[in-house]
Formats: sequence, structure tokens, C-alpha cells
Amino acid sequence: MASANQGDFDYLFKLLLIGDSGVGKSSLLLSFTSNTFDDLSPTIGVDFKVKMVTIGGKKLKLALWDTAGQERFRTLTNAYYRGAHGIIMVYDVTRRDTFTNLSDIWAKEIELYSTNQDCIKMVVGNKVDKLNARAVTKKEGIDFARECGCLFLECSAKTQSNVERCFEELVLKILETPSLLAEGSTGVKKNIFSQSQQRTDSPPPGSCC
Amino acid sequence: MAAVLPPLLRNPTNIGGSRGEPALLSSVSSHGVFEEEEGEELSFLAILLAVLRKYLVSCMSLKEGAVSSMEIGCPTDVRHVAHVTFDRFHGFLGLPIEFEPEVPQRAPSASVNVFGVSAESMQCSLDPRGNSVPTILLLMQRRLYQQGGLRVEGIFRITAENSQEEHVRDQLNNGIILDGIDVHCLAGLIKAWFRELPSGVLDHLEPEVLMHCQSEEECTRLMKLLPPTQAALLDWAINLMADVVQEKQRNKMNARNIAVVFAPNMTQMADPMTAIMHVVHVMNFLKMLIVRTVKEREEAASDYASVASLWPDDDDDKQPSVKLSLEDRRGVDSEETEKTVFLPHETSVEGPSEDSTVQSSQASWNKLVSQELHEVPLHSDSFPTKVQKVVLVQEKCRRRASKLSNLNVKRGRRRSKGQSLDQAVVMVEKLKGTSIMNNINSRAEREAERVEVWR
Repeated sequence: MASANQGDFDYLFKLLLIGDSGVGKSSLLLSFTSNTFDDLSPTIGVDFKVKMVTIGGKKLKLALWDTAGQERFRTLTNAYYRGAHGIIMVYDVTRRDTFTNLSDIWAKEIELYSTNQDCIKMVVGNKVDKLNARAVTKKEGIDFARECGCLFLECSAKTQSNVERCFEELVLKILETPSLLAEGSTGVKKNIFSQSQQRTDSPPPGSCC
Repeated sequence: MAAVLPPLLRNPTNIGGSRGEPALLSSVSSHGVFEEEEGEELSFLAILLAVLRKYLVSCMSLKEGAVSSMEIGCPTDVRHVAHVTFDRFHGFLGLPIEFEPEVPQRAPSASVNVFGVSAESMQCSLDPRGNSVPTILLLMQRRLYQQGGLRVEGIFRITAENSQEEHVRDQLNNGIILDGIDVHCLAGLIKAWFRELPSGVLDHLEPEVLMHCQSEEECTRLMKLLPPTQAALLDWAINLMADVVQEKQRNKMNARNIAVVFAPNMTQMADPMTAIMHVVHVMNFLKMLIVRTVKEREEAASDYASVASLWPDDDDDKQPSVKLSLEDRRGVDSEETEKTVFLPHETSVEGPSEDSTVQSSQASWNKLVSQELHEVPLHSDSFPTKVQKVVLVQEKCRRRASKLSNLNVKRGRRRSKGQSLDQAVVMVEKLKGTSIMNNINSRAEREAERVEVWR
């Protein structure tokens, strides 16, 4: 029923993955979309994947935008922040730099380029399978997430633990936010005029941040 | 005579209006016929007048210049104090101490800032391959290699901590190189240096041309289209990336991976969409060049191995079967030659000397490597000449190769000239294909071994 038709869905959500180079954004996405793990090449520009999920009886089409972490691409990829419903900030729990860069760089990038004030943000610490190499504690992650009003989870793209839950929690939160829901609903998407109408009309409640 | 004289005579009359001329003219016109004597007299007068006119003209010009020429007297008591030369890398050389405070120590062209300025305006040094690249790049590269950065997983892919990078960058712009910089920070700054150039290194190549570049040969051809500065930078960068790729077992950075992380720093395009498309082509271009470089190095290395195994004994007459076909000679600088040409055992006239040239150039580089780049500047007068020498040797070889092929000499044993040629070519190729720093020591050892065998 869920995979019957790609065009048949209730909501379309745009989710964006950002974070330093090599933290495992593409791996996380690969793990989520095809349940596999591989040593991946650095991403060029932006990779785009689509996954259909059914959550709470609703059929959702997730447009997953996987951005390149390379510095140079930052200037090129900021256009892709536009209209994102959810943004996942990924860091590597074994590399402290990637964690500090979330606040130094990536959170600022969101502020600058995200057009959607209500968009749901999520902090994800990847590579928890490397038990001995951990450089950032879970508590630090939670504290940071609380500070900037984000969801938080730790996962491993390699063992696939918690990967599904990341996207699930994010989507659930989006579903709870009326303005995002209105934007992502199919009826709006199909009609460009009413979509732009909706955008200008919907007042920003600023619920989560 | 008559035809020549009137203009000669008329001109002075117009200017000077000297006496006697009207008479002369009238005499010419009235008599109509020339007597021999009269003609001689006339020509003599004409010369006299011409001299007079010249004198007058020079007098007039002298009057004009007299004002300025009077002010400076003739120099007396001239003494040679010093011979000062200007060097691009070191500024003024041989300047007397009393003048030094007036002239900046460094080359005036060297920019104070490290990032965001063109390579032309920076202080440059030569890398072991003879590329003139900004000294700061060589310095960062050296630090990176020293700290084992080539073996660190994800080198050049992983981003350093932003705040540290900012700090190191500021210090570099102030001319200070800190100790203990993180390898990812060094790698990141090397990329940043390329990214922040006023124009991208590969921006000189047309995107369409780059897009259709499908083979290694085409890439090499494109590389030659770049202006010298950009070509040197690209060659340096390709060899740096090849160094990384040679450690891919440890750092997990294969040719594609390193090309991906470098590509976006090599071009600048305003529109994000076209930029990303273009980056893919740049990435392929870089990848092909890296793969080619690594291949060349491996071939060079295996050549050394074969050479070493070919010289187990010191027997002079037992020569290894030298496989030298005419085709090999023609493509003397192609890779195939490297494979088929064996270094003959027989000592030739030029062979050892050329070998020693290469050796000494390596030795000099070794010396350079062992010195802190910023403390002891590169001896541009020693190293480049060596490089030039090697290049000259190569040139000589090429010329000789063509000569030999013209002679239509068929395969077989070749006497000293041809053999020395092959040695030199192989040596030069080797030198060219050497990875920048990490291989040098082992190579130098091998070189030393070779010389011993020779003796």
C-alpha cells in the first residue's frame, strides 16, 4: 500500500543534511534509504534522494538533500536551504572539531540561508559504533541541542542503529508543526498560486526554536 | 652632376642665404654646359656648403641643449663600490650594509598577505620539480608531510576546527608560522589558498574544452595551455595529490576522493548550478592527471627495481640485452622508453657525470628539505642551475635521439653516446616523476648504490 505509487502521497517534506566533510552525511542517508553501508566518496555539490515512508497512517514523500561538506561548496549549496522543512546537522562523535563547527559554522549557515523560520532542526552524532574513539560525550551533544532548540540523537550509519529513528522523530515533529504541515501538503504543492499565497499568509508562530 | 647639384645648392640658399650661391646658380643656368674644371669646383663648393650647413644645424641644436648640459660636470674620481643584483626570491643581493635600511629586505613584489592574493605577487620558491610556487605553500606542505599528514585518514577531506584555522591563517598573514598546527588545518589551508586566489587556477581553460577532455593525453595537452604560473601551481598540486594517493591504503583517499575535494577550489564560478556541473569536469580532469602521475611514479620505481636486479655483478663485458628499437628512440621521452631501456653496464664518457648532476641536484634538494624554509631561504642560485642542467641534458638527449634515428641505426648494442643518452633520459624522467619529498631519501640511497655499482 505504501509503495504502490510514488506520486500518491499526503505530504512532501524537504529534509536537508549538513555538517562537516566526512562526518557521514551520505552514509547516514544511504543507511536510511537502502540499509547498506559503504566507504563513500566525498559528495559533489548536492545529492538528492527520495524515500516514501508511512508514519501515523500518513503517506509521506521525503525529499532528502545531501549536501557536500567541503568548504568551497558551502557557498554553492546555501541555495538548497530554501524551503527545507527539516535540517539535520550531523557531527562525528569521534572528532571534536566536527562538533564545535556545528555552532561555529553550521548553525549560522541555517540562520543565514534557511527561509523557513519554523523548520525543525536536529543534531545527530554519528559513528557511535567507534566506542573507543569517542571525543564528544552524549551529554555535550544534548546540551548543545537544547541550547539551539534542536532535537538530538546519536546513531551509527555503519551498524544502522538509530538511523531510522532520526528521520522518524524529525518527521513526527514536522507533522506536529501546522505551518510546515500546510506547506508540505500535496494540495498546496499541486497549486503554485495557493502555495505562494499560503506562504505569505501563514504567520510564523516560532514554536520550537 | 648637374642633376645632383641644384638641389644641394638650393637648400642652403633657402635656409642660410649665404653669398656666392646666386652667382653659382646663375653660372649654371647661363652657361648651360659644364667644363670639367668648373664641375670640379662646383662639387667642391657643394661639399663645403654641406659641411657648413651641418655645422650650422649642430650649432643650433647645441644652443638648445646648452642649458641642461652645463649643469652637470664631468664625473671624476669614479670608484666601483659593489655589484648589486636583484633576485625574485631574495630581493637585492650584494647590497652594501649602509644602503640596506633604505631597501626592504624581501623582494618588493612579495605580498604581505598570504591568502587572497595572486601567486604572481607572492614570494615564490622552487619545488623539487622546478615549479615556482609560493613559498608558503611549500612550507605548509613540508609541515604536513613532517607531521605524517599523508597517512592520516581523510586528509584533505576532513575539515579542521574553524577557530584554529582562522587563527593559523591570521598568523600566516602576519608572517608567522606556528608550531604544532593540526594536519587537517594545514591541509585545509592549502585548499583555502587555492580557493581564495583572485582567479581559479583552471579558470584559464574553457569549460567546454575541459568538459570534452576524456583521455590522459588530452589532459596533459590542456595542462600545457595554462600560463606558466598556473601551470606550475597545477603541477605542484597534482604531485601533492599523487603523494596523498600513494598512501591511500592508510588515508583512504584515492584519486577520485582527493580530486573531489580539490576540484571546487580550482575554479571559480558565480552561478551555483553551473559551478557544480563544472566541478564534476574539473574533478575528472584532476583525477586523470593524478592517476597518470601515480602510474609514472610506479613505473619509475619498478624501473629502479629492474635496474638494480640487472647489476648483480661487476663484469664489464656482460651486457644485459639492451632492447633499443628505433621506435624507442623516437619516443625517447615517452613512458614506453622508460620501460624498455635498460641502463647499460658499460661506463660511458658522459654517463657518470650526468648521474652525478642528478645526484647533486637531489643532494641539494635534500639539503634544502632539511632546512627550515623560512629560516634559510632556498638557494635559488644553486638549485635552479642544477635543474636547468638536467633539463639541458634532457634537451641534448632529445637532439641526439633524433640524430640517431636519422642515421637509421638498427637495434643492437650501442656505444657510449647512445647509452649515455638513455641513462640521462631515464634519470631525467625519474627525477621528474619523483614524489615530492617522501621518496627523496630512499631515492638518494638508491642513487648512491648505483654509483657504487658503477665503480
